[in-house]
Amino acid sequence: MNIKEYIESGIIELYVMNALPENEKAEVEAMARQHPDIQAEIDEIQAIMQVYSQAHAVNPSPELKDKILDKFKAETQPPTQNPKPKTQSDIEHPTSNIKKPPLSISALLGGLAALLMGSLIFHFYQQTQTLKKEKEACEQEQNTQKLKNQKEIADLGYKLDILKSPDTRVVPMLVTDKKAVSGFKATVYWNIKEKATLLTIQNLPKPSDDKQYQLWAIVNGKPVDAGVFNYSLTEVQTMKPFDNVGAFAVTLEPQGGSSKPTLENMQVLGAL
Amino acid sequence: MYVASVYKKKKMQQATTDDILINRLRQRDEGAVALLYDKYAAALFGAIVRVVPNKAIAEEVLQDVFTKIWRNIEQYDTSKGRFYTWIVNIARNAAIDATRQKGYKRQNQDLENVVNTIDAQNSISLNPETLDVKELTNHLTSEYKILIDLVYFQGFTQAEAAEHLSMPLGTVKTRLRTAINKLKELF
Repeated sequence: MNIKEYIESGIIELYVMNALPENEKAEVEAMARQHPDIQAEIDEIQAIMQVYSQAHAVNPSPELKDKILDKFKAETQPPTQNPKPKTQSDIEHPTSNIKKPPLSISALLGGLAALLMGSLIFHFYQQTQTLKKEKEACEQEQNTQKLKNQKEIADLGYKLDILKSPDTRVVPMLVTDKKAVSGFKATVYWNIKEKATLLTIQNLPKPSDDKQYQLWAIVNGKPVDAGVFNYSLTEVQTMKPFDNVGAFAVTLEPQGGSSKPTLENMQVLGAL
Repeated sequence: MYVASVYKKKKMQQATTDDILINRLRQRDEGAVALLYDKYAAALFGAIVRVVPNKAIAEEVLQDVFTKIWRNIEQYDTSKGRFYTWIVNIARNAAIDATRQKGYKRQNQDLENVVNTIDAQNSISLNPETLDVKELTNHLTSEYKILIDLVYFQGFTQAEAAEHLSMPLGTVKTRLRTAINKLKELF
């Protein structure tokens, strides 16, 4: 069952309303941990039910509040400061015989409390704003990453199409230095129809930091720059496209490549 | 939508003040009980009287609920959901427990009547924003309202609601989904 169907089934509503047996409740919680969409749905329905419930609020008797608060006072230790003056409980609580602080002090305390509340509210407001900004930054980063991933997938799909195409010529690049161990070191895939050129490295030596490999296409007997490439044994790299190529060659050049190949640094060559 | 934006703004404020409230309760700060009362007593009482229409018994249940919140606040897990969801669950369970007590006389009243009389009789003093919502929820057809009341307020399970309303089990789920979707549109 996919996530959308799961959400649409109404099980989240039953979960929020606490109407599911324990095993199904645990199942929803496990699903929510795995799928943020389900957690988001739970959050939303909880918020909706809270508004719904608060809209159906009924006021209890006005005296109930004091009754409950008194019960709490009796349950926990009697208050050590600021006893609430109450005529009824005066008899029960000897503490309330303590002289009431003068009005000016209680007014001052009230003012201080209001100030404190105000600064607290401001503090939390600021915090909320910061969190909001952080969330936006996160979302933006996520979007960028998503776009990047989409581009990468499209790129890989394109490369795969080129590699699979019957119009693609596979050009093994062989070592030009007779003294070196023979065997192909890199492969160029050249698609005649798409004019696309791809390259993979099998076992070229790792260049020093100031050097970079460069691919050349030999067109009408002359070397034409096909671009520098990274030393990566896993990537399929896209090089410059060509209409008509007689051969490909790889030279070792200074970082960034050269406009003309340094022929004595030619590493591998592959003819079509 | 205006209502939606007000609702979202409210939600943000609520998250902050709930956090303060929870922290104070965890620090065993009695003053927080008064805050809790001012903020949620009427909503919780509204949930309780739907199960226990007798006002005196319902008030006892509410007292009990406050004690339970105070004692069990450490068990509240923020990651599992909103604070209100947690306390309304406590209220619902306490109310249902009260109806199971010996000597409790279940008033044999049609549920729809109970709900309507409760809504009509009780003076509700709430801020204008939630009154708007109440107005809006009146647009829900009564079949959806009864279903939400049964499951959310009365604590009926899916199977019990299906039996009570003589509808198939699956229909309870899909109707509930439709009802919430309608509320989503209204909010």
